[in-house]
Amino acid sequence: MIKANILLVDDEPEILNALKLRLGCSYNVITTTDPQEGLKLLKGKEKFPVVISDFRMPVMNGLDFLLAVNEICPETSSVLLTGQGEYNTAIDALNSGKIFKYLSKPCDSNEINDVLKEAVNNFENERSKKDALKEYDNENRVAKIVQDQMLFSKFKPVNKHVDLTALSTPKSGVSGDFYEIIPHDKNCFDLIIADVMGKGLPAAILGAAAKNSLMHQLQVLKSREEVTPSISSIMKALEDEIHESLVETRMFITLLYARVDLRKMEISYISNGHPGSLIIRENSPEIIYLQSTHMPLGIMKRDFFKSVNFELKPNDKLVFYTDGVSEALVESSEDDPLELILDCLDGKETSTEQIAKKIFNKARTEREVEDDMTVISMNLGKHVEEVKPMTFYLQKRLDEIYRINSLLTKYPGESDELFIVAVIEVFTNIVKHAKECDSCIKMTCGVNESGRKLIEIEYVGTHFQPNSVKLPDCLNQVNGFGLFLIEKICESVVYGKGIKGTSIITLTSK
Amino acid sequence: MIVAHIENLDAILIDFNILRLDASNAETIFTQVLESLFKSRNIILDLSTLEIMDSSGLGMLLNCYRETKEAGGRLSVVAGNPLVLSLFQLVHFNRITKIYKTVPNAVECLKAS
Repeated sequence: MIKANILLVDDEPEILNALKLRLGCSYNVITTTDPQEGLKLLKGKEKFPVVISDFRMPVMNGLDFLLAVNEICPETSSVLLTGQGEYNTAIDALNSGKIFKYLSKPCDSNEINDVLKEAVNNFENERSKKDALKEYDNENRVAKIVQDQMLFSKFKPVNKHVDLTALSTPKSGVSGDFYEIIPHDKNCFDLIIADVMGKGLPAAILGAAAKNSLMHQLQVLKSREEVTPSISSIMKALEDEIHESLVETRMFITLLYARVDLRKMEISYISNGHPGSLIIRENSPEIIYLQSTHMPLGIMKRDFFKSVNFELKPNDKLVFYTDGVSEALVESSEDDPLELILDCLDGKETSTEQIAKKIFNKARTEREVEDDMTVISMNLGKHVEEVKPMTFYLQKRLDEIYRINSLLTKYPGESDELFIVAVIEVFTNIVKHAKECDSCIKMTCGVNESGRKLIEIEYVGTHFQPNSVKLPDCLNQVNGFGLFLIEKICESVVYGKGIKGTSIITLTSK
Repeated sequence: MIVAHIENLDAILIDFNILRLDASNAETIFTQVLESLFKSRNIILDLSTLEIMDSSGLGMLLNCYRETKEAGGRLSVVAGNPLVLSLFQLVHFNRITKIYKTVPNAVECLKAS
């Protein structure tokens, strides 16, 4: 059997020799009269489960030496040898955890053997604990890397006007929080933020599984419906998939699924018990709180999920957070988490990164983190959709109305059916009433600076310049409604002339 | 276009079954409607499939209205498309004619009167 190493330090060589003789058969005893020499030995390759040091030594006292030993090898058991009148020092050191045991001189053989056995055992325990911790840390470290790199999104810009920041920190290594941004096109994307109740690896694994399931269901629905599935159908598919597992593991998830549509400037969302989501409006005291619409997932299965819509305005700031954040901020039951979140901000933040960091840092400094924390901040910016002008040529035939309708319906931006009616009215008038109109009719669509649609219709033939039209008498007239409709539907109608003598009618939508 | 006579009620139901009613087809359709107009006093026009309409379509409906009125009958219109309804509102067509959401609604109202 391999003998355990013991380092003995005493300024008196006689004592060292006597102890070495007594312990030599059970331990591999190394001695030195110089504490500095002892520390050097400890820094070497050999491991010393136990270090015994005399208290009274000329250069460095035994307690200081053992503290230095502890610095070098924390798991080594340190034993202090004391003379008469030094008990108090030894007991203080023992109580404050600076040494493992003390022995008073002269030492009894049995006593010294017992203490050494205990000291060696203690060293073994400490070392295996440390190894286990190391292994756990290593597993956790790998899990964290996997989670950071593969489960937490690295946001790619959804749209150049939208500024987005997400910050997340786990309570221990890995997090049960997760989030995702799913772009559908440059004007529409989904945001998901969720919190698995619980912490550590089980919560993180469940979070990863739920997120995986969500993404999978989204793909399935997309391929089945061939259009972007509604958030209600996505939520339903997700719940169908994970409900049983949640019940079985007795865990539940709070999850907010929001869809931001910049074309409609609208957010629709379903919140399964998710506590923190709000919209801060520019130059307005109004704060919109996206209240929970359903219970957390895993509690009760539902037949359907109903989403809630809110209008969005340019430069709206959206803030989403998990309850780890609000719990960190709240001090008493009277505190309103929402107000505490808003207190973190002073309105001078110029980026979403600043907003997210302010909330995140305040929550982190407030007290020790009790739960995983995630903050997502988003600024919609001044969103004006870029639309390229489109030109097409039409025959002077009434059935071209179908083509106008289908081309204008597909034209980007909000489809305005009444405006299309006005365009068709103008086209019909040209076909019916513009004499000498033999060539094609040119139609150009575009969007003006304020986002209104512009349609320019250019043709060769009779130039119209109608006066303002009143509502024709429905009871007695059947004609004259066309001009009335054009005027009523459009923001403006301009009858102009082109360079080559063509007539140009320009319509602007309301 | 489907034309049906409603028994016990001097009424004709004309189901247009078309998506659009505009300058490109309004005249042709009016000729077809005209044939049915004189078979009965009261007319129900079912425009529920209609998605697009313009002033020519409106003009045709007004013609139907006048023809029925002259015959001493009543014109009821069934429509639900938002665009069609907003056009009715723009020219106040909904003030002179009753607009219903469904055919049964229109029939019931006609019975009650």
